[in-house]
Amino acid sequence: MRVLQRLGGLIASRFLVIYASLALLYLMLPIITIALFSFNDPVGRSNYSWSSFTFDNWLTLFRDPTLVKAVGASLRIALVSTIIATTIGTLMAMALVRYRFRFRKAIDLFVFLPLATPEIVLGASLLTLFVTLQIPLGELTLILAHVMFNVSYVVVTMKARLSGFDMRLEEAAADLGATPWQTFWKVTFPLILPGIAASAVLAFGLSLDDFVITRFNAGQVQTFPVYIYLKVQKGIPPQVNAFATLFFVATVSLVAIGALLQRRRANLKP
Amino acid sequence: MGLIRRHPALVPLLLLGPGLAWLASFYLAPNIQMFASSFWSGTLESGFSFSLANWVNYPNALDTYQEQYVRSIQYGFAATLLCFAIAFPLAYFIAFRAGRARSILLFLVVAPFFTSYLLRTIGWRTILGDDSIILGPLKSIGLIDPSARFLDTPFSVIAGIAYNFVPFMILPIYVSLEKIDRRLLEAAQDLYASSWGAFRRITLPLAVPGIFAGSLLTFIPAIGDFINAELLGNPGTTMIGNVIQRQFLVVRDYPTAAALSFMLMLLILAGVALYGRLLGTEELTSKAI
Amino acid sequence: MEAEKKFGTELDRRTLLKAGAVAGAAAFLAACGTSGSSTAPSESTDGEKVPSEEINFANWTYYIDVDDGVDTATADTSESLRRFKAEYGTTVNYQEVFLDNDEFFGTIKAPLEAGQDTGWDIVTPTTWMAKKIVDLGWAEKFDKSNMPNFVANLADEFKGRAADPGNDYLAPWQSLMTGLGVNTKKTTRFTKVSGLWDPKLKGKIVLLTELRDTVGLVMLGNGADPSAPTRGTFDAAIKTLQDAISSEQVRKLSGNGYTELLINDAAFAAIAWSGDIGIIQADKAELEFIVPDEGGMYATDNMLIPKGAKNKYTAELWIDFYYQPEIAAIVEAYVQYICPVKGAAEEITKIDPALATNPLIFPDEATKSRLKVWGDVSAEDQAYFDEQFSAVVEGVGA
Repeated sequence: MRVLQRLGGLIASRFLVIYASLALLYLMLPIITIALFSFNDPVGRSNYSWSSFTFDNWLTLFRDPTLVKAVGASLRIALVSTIIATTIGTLMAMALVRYRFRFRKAIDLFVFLPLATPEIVLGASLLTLFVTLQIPLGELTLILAHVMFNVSYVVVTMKARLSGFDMRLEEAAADLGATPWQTFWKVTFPLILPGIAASAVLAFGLSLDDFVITRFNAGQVQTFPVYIYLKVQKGIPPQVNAFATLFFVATVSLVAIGALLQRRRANLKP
Repeated sequence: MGLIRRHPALVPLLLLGPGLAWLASFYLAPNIQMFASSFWSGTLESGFSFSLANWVNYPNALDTYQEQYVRSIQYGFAATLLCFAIAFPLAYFIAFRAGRARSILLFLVVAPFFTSYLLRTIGWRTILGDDSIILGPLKSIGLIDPSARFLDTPFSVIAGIAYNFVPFMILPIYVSLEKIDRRLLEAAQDLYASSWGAFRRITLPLAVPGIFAGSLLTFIPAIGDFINAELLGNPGTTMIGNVIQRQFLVVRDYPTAAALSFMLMLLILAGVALYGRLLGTEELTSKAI
Repeated sequence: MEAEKKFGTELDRRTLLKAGAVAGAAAFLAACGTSGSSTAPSESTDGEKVPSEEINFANWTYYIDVDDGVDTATADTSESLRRFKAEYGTTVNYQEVFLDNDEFFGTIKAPLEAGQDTGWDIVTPTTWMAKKIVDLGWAEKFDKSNMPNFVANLADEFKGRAADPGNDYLAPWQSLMTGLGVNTKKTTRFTKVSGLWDPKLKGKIVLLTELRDTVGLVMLGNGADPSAPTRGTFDAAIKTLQDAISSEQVRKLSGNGYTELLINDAAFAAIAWSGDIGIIQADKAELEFIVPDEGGMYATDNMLIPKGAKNKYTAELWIDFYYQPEIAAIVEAYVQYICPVKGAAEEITKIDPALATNPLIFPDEATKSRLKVWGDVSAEDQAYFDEQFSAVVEGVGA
């Protein structure tokens, strides 16, 4: 009986390894394809079938001024909306986790609502608002829109991080004579910094990649995803693949460096 | 400053202030406005007019697009199941079997999230094309029926949706699994439980909050998705998202579009409530996320 | 306990203030740092007309000449745009953002309604959409004193059109034929609309989301006349379409994207626009454009200056520049649509004599007689048609 169980267990774990590897491969497949086709020299404009290898696309990354503008717009909007959203969201999360007050549950739900709303509804409702108020559509309206949905994500992420926060550390700092200011910067902030960083990365990524809400509220402005969508119909230039691969590698490296630094810090502790 | 000292209750309100103001202006107000517009009648050229009698916009819209609602629920459900099937074993593996490689694997799982959503979806066109770089060879060696088509089918739409939300499914499940005290499992083993029994009675129930959060975070956007249906589907796979998108941007029938949007939201909220009730927890949303 | 609460509030206040300052600064930066779409300094306001440095031109895809091996048209990669820059110093910001008439209109409607600048100086809607825009009062009237070439070289068939009787608002860019695009290697060449419904082509055809093109062609296939559509003939065509969709004959209903499907062999036949096929033939010779025996559709895309455009004068300069036969011929030779500029035909043969017999640019009389333009109907009927077709595109009853 035991032997059978053991055997069953072994098979199960072998199976698990295989399944997990396949799943990982499946997850990576489109990424690999995107990166691969950035090296393709397409026949005509259509970059779906492989024809020949070339470095050309990487060398001519900035050939299409519209693409460059779109990338720039995306980065700008992502940066600004991330800063605003992370700040506002962290403040909200601190309020929701550390204090008890009336309507706390209601506000909890209210903040969660944008996550439960389909992007189409978010985008369309914002469009009607901007049109009614006669606010011209452009980078400004996009930033307003991106901050809105990012705030919810930041709050949700930060709440999870903050709920595990040990208040005794702050007490201890106070007992040792630290002023509230010192306590915050020397104790609290460093501890919640990974959470803030994680939320910021999340918000940045969400903003950079947002398509639906952006499409409704962009007017003339093209962001990177909007540019891609417009190009889908008649052939996406391989430079787009190159940019996407670049973003991917950049983010991966950033996170990897962050993780390495953390490990370094952990190793330094006695 | 003294004000705050005398009224400490103000602090949370001040902290919440900017965020609430932002959400109120850019989430609540627009949705209220859109709700009002669902009671309009008229056209762009002739102008729109508000009237409560236009509540019929709702049943009219539902009647015309019933099929799309049903299909969206079906696809959303199928995509969530598929996503779960991919994510759970992977999360389990990373949580229990990966050891040191844990962070790397977790990161690899989330990494696809860092490329453009559109490009990933289009990537599937490249992969699933009738004679693609992958399917082509498989077809020529006879592993797949040469006349079989995987692209522009319900299959490609559901697979595309599932693919896009795997990180959302995996992370909460992983967090739940990782939190499980290993000593519980050891204790079970000491009490002669089989590994399957331990799994069924300890691991699975404790993973429920994560499963709940993950499936919500997948199902909700999946239902409203239109990109996958547009890029990977055919006229028979249109989802309610495609309809709403067209109504807003192309047909510009704002009352119908607004009515459809609100009905979709109601559907989602009802679904979330039902799901929460089924799993017997209401606090799950705040706890698990 | 008291102390904790006390300094808890203190430090939070400070945090709050600091964070508030950061957020405020960020918002301030955001407000000044982003200027929306860039607009170069436009014509001076003292009455003296100077060409602007840049104009924004929204057009369909595959609709202007580009140099070999390039896929985006800019002032550096397109001969016509290059010459314009050489002559007036203006860089044309050429954007292929027109995917569908209705969709594009949706993006400019809000600013036009509010009386604001749309950000575009020239847009190119098809005549029926252009008429809508003109009728809504959202098109700038041409100052023809700036446009002598346009006045002289506009082909006669465009004078006195219902959409623009005085030629004051619309300047035709290209005319196009809608017919069949067929991959003659993957399927037998056919010349009737009914060939689309051949069971051998199941799941291998793609149709357009443009009502006038798709329904028009289907009506022709049914023996009806799209230049005088009635609810009866329309409904019959819709039924044909819906049957084709439910039986999975149609793989996709696409806007401009149908060419991708033809190129990748995802589709073997399509309802197609003449010039598109002409261009992709260069890479895929087996694709052929055929005007069906029963007839094909004919339409024109027009340059229009939206109301409030910042660079109206320069836009007029561009239109006039295009209406020179040599320039129009340069564009024509590449896009292979039908040119509305008088005299371009002779210029084209100078560029490439072989083009003189190109059936896409110069359809013969027999073909021309088979082409129909979608008829003008009452607003109610058209609204009915729009609604019915929209439902088909949305997959209702699929």
